[in-house]
Amino acid sequence: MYDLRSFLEEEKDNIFNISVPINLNQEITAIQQELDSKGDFPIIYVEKPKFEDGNISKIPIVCNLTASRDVTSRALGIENHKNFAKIYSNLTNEPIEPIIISRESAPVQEKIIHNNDVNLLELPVLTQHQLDPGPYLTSAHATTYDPDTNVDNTSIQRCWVKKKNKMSYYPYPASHNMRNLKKFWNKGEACPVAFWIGHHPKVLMGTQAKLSYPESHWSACGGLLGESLRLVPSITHGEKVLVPADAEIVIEGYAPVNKLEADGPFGEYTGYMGPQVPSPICEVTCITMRNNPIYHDYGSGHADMLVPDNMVMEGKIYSIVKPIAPSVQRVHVPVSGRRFHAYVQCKSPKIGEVRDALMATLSYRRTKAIIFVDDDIDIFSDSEIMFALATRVQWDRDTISVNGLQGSLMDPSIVRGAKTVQKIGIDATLAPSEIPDTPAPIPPKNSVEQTALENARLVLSNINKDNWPKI
Amino acid sequence: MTNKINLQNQNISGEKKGNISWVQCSFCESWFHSTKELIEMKTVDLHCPNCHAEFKPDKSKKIIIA
Repeated sequence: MYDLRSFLEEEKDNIFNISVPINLNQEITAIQQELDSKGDFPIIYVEKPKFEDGNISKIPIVCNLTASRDVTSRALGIENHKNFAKIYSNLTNEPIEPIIISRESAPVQEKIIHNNDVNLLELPVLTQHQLDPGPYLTSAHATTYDPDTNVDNTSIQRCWVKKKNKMSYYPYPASHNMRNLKKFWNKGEACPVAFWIGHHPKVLMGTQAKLSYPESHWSACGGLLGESLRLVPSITHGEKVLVPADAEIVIEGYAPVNKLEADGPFGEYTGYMGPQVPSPICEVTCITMRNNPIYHDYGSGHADMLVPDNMVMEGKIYSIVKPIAPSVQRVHVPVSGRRFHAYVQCKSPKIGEVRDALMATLSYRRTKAIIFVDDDIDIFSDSEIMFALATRVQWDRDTISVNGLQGSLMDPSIVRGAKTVQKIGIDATLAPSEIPDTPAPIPPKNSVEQTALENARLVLSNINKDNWPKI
Repeated sequence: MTNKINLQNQNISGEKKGNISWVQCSFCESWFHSTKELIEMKTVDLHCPNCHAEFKPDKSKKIIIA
């Protein structure tokens, strides 16, 4: 059985434990920002989150849970993060159905708080950035269901805690949760919803699997777990909305019909503040939690949130391109490109294969630029990608640019008034050999002999390089 | 009365124009950004993230719609 606690135990040597009080308003996020800029990605455990009024929360916070590609891969039993795309794609293609357990056996329902006793303001919710209007839940997984088929959907949703029993939340307009919400509203009914917080990364990343509609995420979680995910009926909605029994906290409620409120600005994954938008609200009916819950926060726009989502995208892109381009080896969706860039590595692609694959990946809603390179390029190095672009691309011949495709409307560069984006696919592979068993008509790369390289490493070992110029 | 400025849509190839609309709060005069969709809704109040005033878009001090 997996939960957040079992994961923290697995990674106890990689936890940065902060025992002094830390203010919920920006101070935890500032620590993440500093660590990101230094390239350090420990899990952060805040023992004493401090509210604005100086009171200390009884509930500790864990963040940066999945900021490291190494830690995140290990959580899924994947030894080398560079192989994540292929293995994740395979695991989610082997779904395992969830099981429903009794309420008495569900840790997340050890404590049940009803109606008037509900108080969201007691949760240690962070205000992450200086232009955020208030505290936001950032790891709240919203579970809704399609009233036509009863098939559930789960997605991370930002939630602005506005009152003891009210928050606004933002399902992206094209999202499956928004489709479910609109279906209820079109029938004149409030949309039942449950937001659950805190679980093992296997479950967190299973819920981010990119699926069709309507399609439940629970069995994808099972595929990653290698066993059935334990679910429990929510207190408010019963078996209509099941929630993970081993989560830390669940917030249940309804989104009243056509009730919209302003939400945001909010610091987004793009690295910019997303604009204020009209959003549904959740009127909270019940909060359940463990007796001693841990609150999980994702640092929005930081590696903490980008890494797991981008790694799931790698799995999706691999699934799309591999049947079209068998030469594909690895995929990387780099944090530097937010969610907009994807690097794909292939080995000796056949003529036309890369362009076929580019066409397929351009249709994936989330990407904006896809770059294919050869297997001598390390796709986990932005610098090597730049080298390939500089020396292997003639823009007119090697790029495919398409207008009017679905993409993220949070991209600050979108043409004013447009509802779609322009995407580009770039073939940054080298030209192949044209005559069997002869070199390709391209120059060899600069290199030194292996023995010279090994000697160089010997000369440079055990030298203090801290004060050497870095740029 | 709100001073409302509508910026023109992009129509010249290659010329860069931003796509974010801005609202100036009448109460604290700070600016925050929003969407055209929200600003043009009559039923939803805007919320100033600085002073937390809530007001209808036509009560804004100034609006720039992109």
